[in-house]
Amino acid sequence: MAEANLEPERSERLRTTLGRLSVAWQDLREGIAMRELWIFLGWRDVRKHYRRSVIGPFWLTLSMGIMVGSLGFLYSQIFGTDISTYLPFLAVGFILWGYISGTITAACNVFSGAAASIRQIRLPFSVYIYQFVWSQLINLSHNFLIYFIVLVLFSIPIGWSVFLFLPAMALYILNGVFFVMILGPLCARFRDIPMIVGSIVQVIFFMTPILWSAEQIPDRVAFVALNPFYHFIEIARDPLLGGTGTLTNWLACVGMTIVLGVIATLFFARFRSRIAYWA
Amino acid sequence: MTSIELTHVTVDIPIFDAGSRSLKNNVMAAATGGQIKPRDGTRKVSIRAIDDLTLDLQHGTKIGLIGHNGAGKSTILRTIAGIYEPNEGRVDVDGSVAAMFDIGFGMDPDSTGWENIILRGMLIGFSRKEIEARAADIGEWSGLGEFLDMPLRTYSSGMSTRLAFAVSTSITPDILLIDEGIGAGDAAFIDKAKARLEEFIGNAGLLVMASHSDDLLRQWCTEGLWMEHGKVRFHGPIDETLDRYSASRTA
Repeated sequence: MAEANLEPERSERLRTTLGRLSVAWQDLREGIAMRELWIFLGWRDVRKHYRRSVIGPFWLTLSMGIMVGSLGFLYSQIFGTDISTYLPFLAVGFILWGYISGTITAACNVFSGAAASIRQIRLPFSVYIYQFVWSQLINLSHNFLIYFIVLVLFSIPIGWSVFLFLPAMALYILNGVFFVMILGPLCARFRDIPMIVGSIVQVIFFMTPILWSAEQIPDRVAFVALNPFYHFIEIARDPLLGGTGTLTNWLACVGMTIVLGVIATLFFARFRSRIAYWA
Repeated sequence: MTSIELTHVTVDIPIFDAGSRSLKNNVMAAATGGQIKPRDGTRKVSIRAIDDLTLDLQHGTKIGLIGHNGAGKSTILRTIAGIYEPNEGRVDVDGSVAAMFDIGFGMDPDSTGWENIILRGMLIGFSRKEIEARAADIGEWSGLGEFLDMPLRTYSSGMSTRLAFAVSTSITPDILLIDEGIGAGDAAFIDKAKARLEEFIGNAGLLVMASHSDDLLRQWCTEGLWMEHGKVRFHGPIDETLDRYSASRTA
């Protein structure tokens, strides 16, 4: 008797999952169709933050520039390395980390922060996701000013490999979206996860070769290689500094993107309809 | 054809106090066997805002939702708008929907009146081009003149209501959902607003309106739906529904 019931129950559950996946997929597609709205809102988010300040979002650039300049000077002394190789390395690492950490920590507030609007109008939830990732990209591009200054100042030899930065960026964007698809609903439901995420991100910063480089600990290869963030920093940092990143770096990043993508899609499909209740 | 069909719709709204929202309490509850009042075998506390509601509204219907606070009126509107997806049952809505719940929604105090027209216009579904083409009309109708160049935070509350009202009523949806009365500033403005509101509501193929004002309901609605604890108490012509409702209150 119990066995006879098992089959229809399982197929019923499968149908529900497939139904949810198609609704989630539709949500993501509808969001892309509404790009005019989220591009507009994303710009506003960035501008709103710096309204009535004279240099606007370049405050972000300026503070990061000061940080990179002084830390670059200090740590090149501590590590005894040449500042002309260390500072560009640090600068690019910092800029990229700014995007990664900013995206992960703020991803937590995407839905809880938009609670008022979620309860007032029906928009695809992906609109909030794209709006957020877009505003993070705008911030990142402001910080690129530092890169160009460093590029000229230390005459970094970049070649065609710099275009590898574009696929790297595509992976950054995809993973940014995936992170919000998971952390957005999760943090709306459990309000102390943002704090947990915040402290984890801080620890990861010190464990990832940003201030220090992987070559400095040749006998601790696994420690670096097992850190997903190392690979993500590397695929974008190396092309910007004249290299390509290793094949391992690239394969690791593509692999992680696929895994995260599958998890994010399933998670988002499962809990999408609850976001309005949780936010 | 414009229509709204609710089939056996049930909506449970989970209640999160500071406690049940935190991860710690959930972990602790799991460890201690869960002391928070259970519902349907889970630890979650929730309120059944709509209980097995079946409703079929066709083009031309102007229905008023009546009932005490917490009877489920706003939840019905939000469910029809597609904001809340029901726990059980189906919601089929055919036609473009405009929801007017909070008139001040989507306004930015630091932006000018003009910018707010664009912002709110895009949020309610206009493309940038469409709203820019209408902005001049909307601005003129609001009667705010050169205040439109000033940030919204310098406006009185009546002035920002005017602006919000002007933008919100510039769309022509198939289905219009209104929650509570639309408060609209000073007396001179109310007369002006009335004409526009008449046109706005008149153009909609289907109106669902929640209100505590008998006058508003009698003016705009032909049907009434009296809700109590998430269930339909009575569904019929607006006058009869209102009479029965007020009789129950005085009794």
